This record gives sequence, C-alpha cells and structure tokens, in this order.
Amino acid sequence: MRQAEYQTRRHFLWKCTTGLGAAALASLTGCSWLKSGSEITTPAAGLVRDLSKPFLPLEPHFPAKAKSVIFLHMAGAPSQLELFDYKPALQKLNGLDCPPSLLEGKKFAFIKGVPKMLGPQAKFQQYGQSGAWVSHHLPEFSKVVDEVSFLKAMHTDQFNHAPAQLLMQTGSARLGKPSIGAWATYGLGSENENLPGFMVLLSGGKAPDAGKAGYGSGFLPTVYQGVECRQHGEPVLYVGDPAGMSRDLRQQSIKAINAVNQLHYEEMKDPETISRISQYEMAFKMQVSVPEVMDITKEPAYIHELYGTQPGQASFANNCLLARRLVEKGVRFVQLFDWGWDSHGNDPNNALDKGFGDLCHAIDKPVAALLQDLKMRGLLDETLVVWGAEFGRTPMQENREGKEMAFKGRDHHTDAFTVWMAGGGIKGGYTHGETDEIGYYGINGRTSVYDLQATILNQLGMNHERLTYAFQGRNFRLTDVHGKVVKEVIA
Amino acid sequence: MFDTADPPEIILFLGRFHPLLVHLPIGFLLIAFLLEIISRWPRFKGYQQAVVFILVLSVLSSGLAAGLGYLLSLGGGYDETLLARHQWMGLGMTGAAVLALLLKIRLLGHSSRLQSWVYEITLTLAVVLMAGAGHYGGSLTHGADYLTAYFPSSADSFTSGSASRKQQPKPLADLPEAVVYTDIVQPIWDSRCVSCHNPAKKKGDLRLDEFTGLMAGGKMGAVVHAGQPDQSELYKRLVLPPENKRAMPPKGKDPLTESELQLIAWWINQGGATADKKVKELAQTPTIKAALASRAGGKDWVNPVFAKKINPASREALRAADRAGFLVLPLAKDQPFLRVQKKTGAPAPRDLSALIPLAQQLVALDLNGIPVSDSLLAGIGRFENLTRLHLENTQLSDADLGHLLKLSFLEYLNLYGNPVTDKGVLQLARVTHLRRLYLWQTAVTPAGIAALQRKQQKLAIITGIPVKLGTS
Repeated sequence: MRQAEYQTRRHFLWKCTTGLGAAALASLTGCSWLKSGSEITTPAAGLVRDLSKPFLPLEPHFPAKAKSVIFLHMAGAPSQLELFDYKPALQKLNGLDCPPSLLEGKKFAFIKGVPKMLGPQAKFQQYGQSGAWVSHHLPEFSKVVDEVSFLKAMHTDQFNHAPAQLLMQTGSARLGKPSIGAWATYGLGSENENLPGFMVLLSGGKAPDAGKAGYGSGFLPTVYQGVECRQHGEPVLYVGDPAGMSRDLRQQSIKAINAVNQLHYEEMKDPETISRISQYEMAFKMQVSVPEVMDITKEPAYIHELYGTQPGQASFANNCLLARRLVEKGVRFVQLFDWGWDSHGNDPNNALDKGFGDLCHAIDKPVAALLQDLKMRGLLDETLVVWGAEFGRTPMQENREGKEMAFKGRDHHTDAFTVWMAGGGIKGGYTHGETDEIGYYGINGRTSVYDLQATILNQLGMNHERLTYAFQGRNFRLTDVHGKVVKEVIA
Repeated sequence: MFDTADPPEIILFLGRFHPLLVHLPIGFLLIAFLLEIISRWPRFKGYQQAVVFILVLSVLSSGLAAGLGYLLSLGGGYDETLLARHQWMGLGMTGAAVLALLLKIRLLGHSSRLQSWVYEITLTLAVVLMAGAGHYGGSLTHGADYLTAYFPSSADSFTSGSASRKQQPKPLADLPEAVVYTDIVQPIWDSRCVSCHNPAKKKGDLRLDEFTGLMAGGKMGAVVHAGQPDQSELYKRLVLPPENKRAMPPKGKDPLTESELQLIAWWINQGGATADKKVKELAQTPTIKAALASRAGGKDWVNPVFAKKINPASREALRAADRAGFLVLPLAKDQPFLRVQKKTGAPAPRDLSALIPLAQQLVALDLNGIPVSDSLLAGIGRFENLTRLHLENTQLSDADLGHLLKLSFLEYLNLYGNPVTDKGVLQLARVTHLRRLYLWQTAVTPAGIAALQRKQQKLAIITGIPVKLGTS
C-alpha cells in the first residue's frame, strides 16, 4: 500500500530527474558508494560503515593497548574525600565556617549561605608498592592499588547529575550525542558476531539520572546503542520465544520480515532500515547467546566467593562478574551504572557517617575481584577498567536551605574528583594530578572529562580527533573540540 | 646610541619585525636577478623594463630590514661572531643592491659593454651576499646545526622517516647507577631548552648545554638554589602557566611533562648543585620512583618485530584464512601486521595451515579454548613474528611447550588452565623477550615459578588465586 502511494506520476518524474542526476554526479566524482555490494570504503574523512554488518571489526587508527573497556560508573557521585583524596588539613578545619573566597562566584546544587568545612569521615592509610592512599571503606581494593592509575584532579563543568552523567558518557551535557560505548563499537565493531558490541548493566535499584541517553547512540545508527541487560527474569526483555513458537518458525518469520524490509530499503534508501534488518538478525542470535552469557550459575564456587556474588540477585557484584564474562566473549564495551552514591546528608542510606560505608562495602570486594579475575585470566592486559562518577563532592558540609542537615554529607562538586583506570596499557601504581590541601581545586595535573574520554579511545587504538561522524552538515566527535590524551598514565 | 644592556621596549618591539621584513629583499633581489637572466632571450626582452622598479624595491626593503636588524641586535643574547657575519653580509648586500640600481639606471640611457658587465657582477654579488646573510641569520634564530641536523647520514635514513631522530632522551640501562644530573636532568635540557640557551644563542644570558653554564646562571643571577625548587628561578619559570610571559618553554612550545618537572624538582631538592650523585644515593618518594621508572630501559623496550619491513598480506591469503574459520584483523590502519582468532561459531580448526601464507604478518594469535593437538602446534614455529599467544584452556602439555621455543619475539604467553608443570615451563626461560606469562590453574608449583623467575628477571609471572586443577 505504502509503496503504491509513492508510485505516482509525480514521483516517477522526480525519480527520473534525481536518479539520473545522482548517477551523473557519481560518475563525475568517481564516488563508489552507489555501487551495489557490501565492500567497505574508508575515505579520508571519517569512516563509512556498511550498515548491513554494523559490528564488522575495523582496524584501529594505531595498534590498540586495550580490546575492551569496562566502565564502572558510580551514579550519584561518591565522595573522593572519603575514598582516595586524603586531606589531613581538612580535619583541622572541621566545623569552621567556609572562607568567603571559596564561595565567591561559585554555584552549588544545594549549599546556601556559609557552610561549615567537613573533615574526612574515614581513616586513611597508604597501600601497595606505590603507597597510594585509600580509606578504610575499601579494604579489598587497597590490596590491588598497584594495578591502578589514579587521576586525582579530574574536573567537569556540570553540577547536576543528569547533565554531568551525559557529559561523562556522551561528551555533551545536552541530549542527542552518542555515548562513548556507541562510539567505540561504531569505530571498531565487535569481535563476537553473536553478542552486541556494547552492553549495559544496572544496579542500585534505579537507572542513572541521565536515563537511557547515557548509553544511547545519539546520531549514530541506532544499532550502536547500549543493550541493557536485566538480572531478574529474562536478561533482555522478550528475548525468549513465546509458547508455541519454535526456533525454526522464528527464523523463518525473521527472514520474511527482513526480506520485506530489504525491499523497503531499496525503495526508500533509509539507512535506519538496514540497521533494523541487522538488529533483527542480532536479536535472533541473542536469543541463544544472551541467556548463555548471562547465566552465572555455572561459575565455580571459588569465583562466587571471590566476587561475593549470589546468582539471581540484582547486585553490583553480579554485574562485575557478568562484565568479566562479556569481555571474555569479546564484547567491546561494558557499561556498569551503580545508583545511590549521592551523599548529601539527607538520607541515612548514603550519608557519610551512616550508609556510605555499606555502599562502599557492596562495591569493594567485587571491584577488587574483577581486577584480580581479569588479571589471572590474562585479560587485564587487554581490558581497560575505568572507575569513576559524574563529579565529586565539596570539602564543605552540605547545609541545604542554610540549615544543618540530619546527617553528614557533602554537596556536588565540579572542580575536583578522583577517577581511576586499570589495565589496557595503563600504568599500575601511579597517581596523576593533585588537589590543594583541602581537596577543593586541582593544583597540578588537572584532567577534564574530555581528557578521560580521549584517553579511553586512545587505549582502544583510536585518535579521538579522527573518530568522526558527519551529521547535520559537520563532522562530530566524542570530545567535540576538547580533549587531550593523559599520556602520563599510559605505560 | 643606546645603552646595549637595557634598550627601551619600543626598540625591541620594532626590532622583532626584522625576521618578517627580511624576506622582502630576498624575494625582490631574486626576482630582479631572474628577470635579468630571462630577458636575455629575445622573446622576454620586455621584462627588462621591470628591473629598475624591482631594484628600487630591493634597496628600500633591504635598507629597512637592515635598520630593524640593528634594533633587534640591541636586545642581546646572540653569538657575537655569527652576528657580525650576518650584519656585514647584510649591509654588503644592501650596498651591492644600491650600486646595481645606479648602474642599471645609467645603462638604460646608453648601453656600454663594460658597464653592462660591471652591473652583472654587482647584481650577482648582491645575491651571493644575500645567501650568506640569510644563512647566518637562520643560524642565529634556529641554532647553528638546525640546517644539517637531519642530513641523511646513510641510505637508510632517506626511507625510514625522522621519528628515530627525534631528540628523545635515551632509556637508561642501569637506573640505580645512573648519574642524576648527566643522565636524567641534562637530557631534559638537551631536548627542550638548549635550542635557545646555547653558546650561539644565549637567551637571558643562560646556557643550558652544560653544567657549568647552568651554575653560572643568567641575567638575573643564579637560577638554581639547592634544596629549594620553589626559590629557584629555573624551576619557577618551568611551572608557570603557559599564558604567563615569563613561562618556559615560551608560549607556543610544549610545556615540560609532569614527570620531567617532578624529576627536576627532585634533583634540586636533593642538593641540585652536585653534578655527580647517582640515582641510588638520593631518597626517592613513590612519585619519583614512577617518574624514574618511565626513564628506565625496560619499560621503553619495543619489540623489534615492529621495525621489520614486512609486505602486506595478499587478499587471497586473507580470504582463505577467513574461509578456514579464522577472524583475521589488521593490527592497525596502514600496517601489515595481523592478529588472528577463531571466528564466533566456527568449528575448532584442526591445523594452522590456512595461516601459513600470513606467517610473516601474524603477530598475535588467540587459540583460547581450542583443544590443541600435535598437528595444531607442531608448525607454530613458522609464525616467527608472534608477539602475543593465547593458549589458555587448550589441554596443552609440557611436550607442546617445546614448540614455542622458536618464537623469539614472544612477549605475552597465556597458559592458564593447562596441565603444564614446572619442567615444561622452565624451558620458557629461553624465550628471551617474554614479559608476561599466565599460569593460573596449572600444575606449576611456587618453587617452579621461583626457579623461572631467577632465570628471567624481567618476566612477570601471573598465577592468581590458588585453585586445584579439575575443580572448575
């Protein structure tokens, strides 16, 4: 029917003119993209992908140090001052009024008037050969600090969760840009034909504030968006066949639908139709591959012991184990979000003097286990693990509405926070950047969110300035016009 | 005219236009010279008429450039001999140009053979003097060895690119024994500072090409105060933000890296003035250890495989490997090197024959999870350029390990989940470049690991949590 609508006299004439025009243009410019067949052409500017094989592996710009990335995003932003950035001087100022020089011209999410300074709410000690400072909240992680490079003077320019998470994941505080996982799979493809190249695992009971845009495909073809897996019931919604639908029948129906879509594509030339065809094919493969890879019950007991996992539970620990399993299968980018780190002091579940320790406890063992497990399998050498959040927290105690809070907490802080990276060609036991004596500003080795993104792409073998996509008349890239690879942390 | 030690700022402001304007007389004079040559052909005779005008331009612009050059020289900091040569050749050229102009004007009225001959000599002399002045001027701004630094010293350097000639400090073979100043600090000056602080071009009256020059200090006195990096002019300038006009290296050049700054601060902190202390004699914080490690030889080791000249694999060979169930991936764009793994869903390969045509290009092979048999591993020695080899969970035995000894460039070897023992693994001491060996879930004992470690000190042996074989 729809096709018939287009077969009008006017349409016929239109096709004659533009069709001939395009053919003439193609022959004039020697352009090959109108040719049939599925050969990949890579012109100098950007890359052109054959969308019928969206995950076909492509060569990186230069030899990659990491094949895969696991990004552990602590949504809500844990306090760097209670975990890694030890500031004994802040203890001496505890309870004193914050000097006006720190408040002038600053915007805070909640702090009003003059807040009081808040000393570290944790005990710190140096660990490992590198002597990295880690608080008592992370006893297991403190054993693996020599695998890790800390970026102690990270900064961002967004002080609310959703835009800051978008900035961290997509390089823009506004909606509509592809996430870093989408860029990575677009640029490199995936080495496993049966699984999506970009998978997302959530824990903490809620999705991140940025929502699905935090792992979306933006203006890239939709096939590159992160595939979210659930831990209860079916890992991906409707991945199973309904009763009475055999796998053969499913295959036949997908074939038929794809044939119709192919016809539609030949008529309309909408690249999203090709994406849709490949998505149907991927979904069919995922019906087998996803339940298999998501099933952790067959993992041996010592692995469950190592991670502290309980099959069937929706936990960060389970997600860490799944991340290892996915990377082992060749998934390019695994994105974890753990919700609930927003320690303002209004909620005992995450207040620094109450539930914060429990939150740390829930990630401590799994994170250490993930690094150890990847290492003994020889995977850490080619997998980049990134731990971080959208921003940090203030050295001042939060005073929402100018009043004292029920519990100890800190407000959102953009000028200084800590991110660490491990494996994938990153130095072990290294610290880059330093904050002032109260942890308010970075005083040397400051690194921006874009610098982190540029470094992640660099370890994957991609130059962040060359990985571009033409959209709305110009080439876009993850780091837009920013970003400098943090060479100091590269081994 | 002016006190040379401290000329007014306007003098220096104008003087800095010299390098800009100096290119005008060069162009004009060359054009005049070329027109004279070309107009000897009857067809281009008309060009003669432009010569006078161009010579007038040459004279005016070279006079102006010479004047500005004098103003610039008042700023000081240049090598006296080079400067004198540049100055006199420049003035000589201006004089020759004036003379040539006058002769040319005379010649226009009535041509005499002799005068024409004198004119030609004068013009040629002006061009020659210009070349000389230009050369010495270039030496003054860029350093005397700027022109010839990349002079090809062998046939190879025509083809191998300039990367190898970049002034990167050489890695230190024996870190604890290295002399802090000569082996660590001086190379930083050499690569980043001496182009402006050398005997020929002493910016700020400071020389950094040798220790005595550094100790003599600059215009403002001593630049290093032992034990006090924050009081040392040298260090203070290095850590200033690049926007600051006192920052070094000046705006537009890359600042020193974090680890370079840390090393300099450490050297000053630990006494600075002493030129002969060794690394092991000075106290080291963890950050300094890491910064030093980045200078140590072991870390910067690059596998010689990647320096080999290897042709790209043929399309047929790539297609054949693909048909045999291998996923063949280029290591990077425009590189011949390949890495290979089994395709998802493809049956386990029985041998590696499909990869033999790719043997030269193959640098990484992943056979993870494929049960190995003699036929699979026997020929692995052919893949002599392998640097990474995944053999985890392949039921590999001690006997199979013997096949790997021919892989002399191997850096990464993953053997986890295989029934290999001390005896087999100990042979791997002969794979000299091996850097990472994974032995989790094997029958290798701590004693075996210690024995291998003694033979291969640079090898990292990764074992993981103790798990008995067969429990998984």
